[in-house]
Amino acid sequence: MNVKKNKNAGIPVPAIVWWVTVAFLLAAVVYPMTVLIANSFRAQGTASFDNYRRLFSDPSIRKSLLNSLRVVVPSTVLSTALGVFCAWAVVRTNVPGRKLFSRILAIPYFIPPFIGAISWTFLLGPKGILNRVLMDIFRLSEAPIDIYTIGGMIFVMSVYRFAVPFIVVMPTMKRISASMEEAARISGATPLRAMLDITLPLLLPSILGSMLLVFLFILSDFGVSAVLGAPNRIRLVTTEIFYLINRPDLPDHLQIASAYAMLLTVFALGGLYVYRRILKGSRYAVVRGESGGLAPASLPGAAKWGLFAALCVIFLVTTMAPVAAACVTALTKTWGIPFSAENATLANFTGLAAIRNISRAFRNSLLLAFLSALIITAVTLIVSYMAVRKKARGVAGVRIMEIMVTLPYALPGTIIALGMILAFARPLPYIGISIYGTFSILLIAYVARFLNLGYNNITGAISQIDTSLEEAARMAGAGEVRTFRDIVIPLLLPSLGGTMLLVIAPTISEISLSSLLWSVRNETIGTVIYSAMEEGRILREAALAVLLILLVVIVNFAAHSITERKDRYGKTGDR
Amino acid sequence: MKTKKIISLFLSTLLVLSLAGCGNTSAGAAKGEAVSGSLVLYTSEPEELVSELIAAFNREYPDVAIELFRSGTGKVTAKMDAELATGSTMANLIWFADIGYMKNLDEQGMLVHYKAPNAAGIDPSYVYGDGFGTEVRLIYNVIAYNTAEVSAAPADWQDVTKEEYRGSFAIADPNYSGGSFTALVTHVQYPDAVGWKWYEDIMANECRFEQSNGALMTKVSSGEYKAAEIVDFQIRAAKAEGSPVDLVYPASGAVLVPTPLCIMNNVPEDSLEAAKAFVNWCLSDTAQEMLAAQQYIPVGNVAGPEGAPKASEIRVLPFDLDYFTRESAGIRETYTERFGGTEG
Repeated sequence: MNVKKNKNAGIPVPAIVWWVTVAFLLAAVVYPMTVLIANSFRAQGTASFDNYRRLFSDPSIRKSLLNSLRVVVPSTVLSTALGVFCAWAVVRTNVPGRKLFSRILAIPYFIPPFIGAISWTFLLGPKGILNRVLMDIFRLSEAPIDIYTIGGMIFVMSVYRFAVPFIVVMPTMKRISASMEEAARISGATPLRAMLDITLPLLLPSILGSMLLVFLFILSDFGVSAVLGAPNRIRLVTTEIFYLINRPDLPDHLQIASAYAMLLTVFALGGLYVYRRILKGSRYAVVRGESGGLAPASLPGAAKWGLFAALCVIFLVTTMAPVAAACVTALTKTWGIPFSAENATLANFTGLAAIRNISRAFRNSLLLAFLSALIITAVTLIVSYMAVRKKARGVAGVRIMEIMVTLPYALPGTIIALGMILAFARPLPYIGISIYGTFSILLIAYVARFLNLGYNNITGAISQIDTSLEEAARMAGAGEVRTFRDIVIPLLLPSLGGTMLLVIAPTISEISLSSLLWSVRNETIGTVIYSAMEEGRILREAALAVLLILLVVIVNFAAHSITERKDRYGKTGDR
Repeated sequence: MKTKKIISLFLSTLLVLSLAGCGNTSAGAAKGEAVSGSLVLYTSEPEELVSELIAAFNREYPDVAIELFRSGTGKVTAKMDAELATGSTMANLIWFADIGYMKNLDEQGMLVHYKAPNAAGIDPSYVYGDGFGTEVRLIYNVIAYNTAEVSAAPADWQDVTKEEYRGSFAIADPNYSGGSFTALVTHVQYPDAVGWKWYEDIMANECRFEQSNGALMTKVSSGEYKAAEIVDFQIRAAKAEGSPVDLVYPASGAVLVPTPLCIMNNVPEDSLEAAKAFVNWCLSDTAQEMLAAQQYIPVGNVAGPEGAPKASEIRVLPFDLDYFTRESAGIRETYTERFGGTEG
């Protein structure tokens, strides 16, 4: 169990990766955050608690915090429930079309939040299609559904974010040891009963991990809260922070915004703490070598088709409806005139070619997304393994790593970007190179911000692999590296693929970090979309969004088929 | 082997990273023109329009390279503030809708005062302070309305406080949008025409809010809002594209939203002439015609956009920089206290 004792290992590669990661996090997370924290304690040029005092005395700030909780808690619960249900349905039952569902139900994750929220206003806004239909049917004089409310935000966040637990839990569910559920079913338990009593508790680490992810995701969301909160001035923490950033007339406005962002980290740490507490002391090693995944439960015809109908409805509501709304908009010739054959055009797509730098923006975003995904997956694989298998420098080291990885993810992108500017606007000391205003600062910011996606996902997966497999390999004479390569990695392949996808989606359309950190030649799709939105070019924005969604869906499908071809272990019997 | 691959991948990525860090080059081919230099412009103007302008400028001044950072006014100033906190900003030219911020920079001696020769022919009130900034085209906050939803076009600010507009009139949140905040200060300055009373009335009439003019325009065009207080050039552009929208310059006066072009004093010595050349060129007939074609009201003596009034024909609530500097903080506070808190 000790790196040093292993003579075959040669260079302690994992330890090097661990320390390189620590160094990276110190530079890219701890240093900017320290600058931000130091900054948050400065008011009128001197050290003070004023900014924090203001947080608790300003009624608007208090209200926004309350609003955030009112949105974040229900939507975290709803999206987790929906995501786990869908994962169960496609992995554990013989519902028709389950392979297809396993891909298309992940699509909402690939729709950038801004776009998703705007698409929903096309559907459920006062002049939205669905509202009009309802008004026609029930002969109402006013739109029956108001999406610009707390309830509207909960709805939209949930129908988007359920894809996170879906993506995270699915691979673990496939890997879960069949024996116990089989035993339950032999004893007469229905598939649902077996799911609730056996599978669900076994999946707890994975579910809680994804719940923590969703919680942080929604807490730091800006797109949905900005689009749906604006008309009625319902601000959440992130929009309130953005509001503070937008007030250069207010003395120390950036410092107050930083202080408020620091408050968010308290919530993130709280979430992390609760997650740890629930998992403490329990062993949930459910992936063993001897038995592959379980053959899906055969549901009786009625239940099977009932489930099929439910999945279809979920797909229609969460994915088809907003994507169709975006497509219709992208094909509209003149905005404001009802869509029809005369008012249809492809010009919004062909016109994109004329925009300066658009191809460069696509190239940059693709490169950034793939590099971030590769780096994050590779690094978190090794770091998570060391963290879970206690090969790191004691538990304290793991905790600190965990915190460093989690925090950037919980903060609004704008705040991270401000920290990066404060930390890196000057050339680096000693080397004299400036990374500010280059491609690298975007990459560093992306990796730092989204490292948590990999860490969370992969630690969850590793902690479910029974150590007996690795011990057996070790006893058979395999070295550390060999065991890792031949046992751990193959078992983790689906989760590694999942991590790549988890990272690619938010990075390819990233807006809040990029909109402050981009520079000429380093524009991203996110900055182009953001500009289109601010300039009121809704048709162009929709065309860009449709292209972007198409792109990530293709990447998603391609990645799936690659992982599946390589996935020689734990066949579920349906291929 | 896989581990090694991953490691080498990681290391090579680090290498790529460090190489990318060195790639900070600046363009500009020397052709022996009189004026040359390299400038960075921070702006909130639509990127396409500014790019068009810079390209035309480069046809006359091929040796001046102008790089662009574009974002919303609030983000541009936040970026500048963060950069300034570390010592210096990358911006040499600034052009966005926050004259209060610019005035503040000027008071700290950070702006170059410059009176462009081409400014001789324009209204002197468009050159601010002692030349710390110059208006190169004019934008106004006006009332836009959806022609399909509104039977009788509104004519003045008071019209949108009528029952007909309950819940369907919107403004850009003054706390997000620099333009909307300027409008607020100017509105308050002229209580006979607008004043606080107007804000009380629209709030009582369930006024809606958006973060940007872009979102306002999208929703006025779609009919979600019957009318909105919005910047004029965007509506003209939407109307030209066939959207069912039109605008009125309110009878009691539109609000001029100052968006001066300013030169920062951090401009490298060898590029100062280039910066001045750009400001001066923006006031030339070539540039003014181009801006008019982009649906802006030109500041110079060229023909305006089709169907738009000339600057001299528009009745405005005159912008008063002294009043703005003196009163804006207090007005912001009053507004935030009375109308600006978060709801839920």
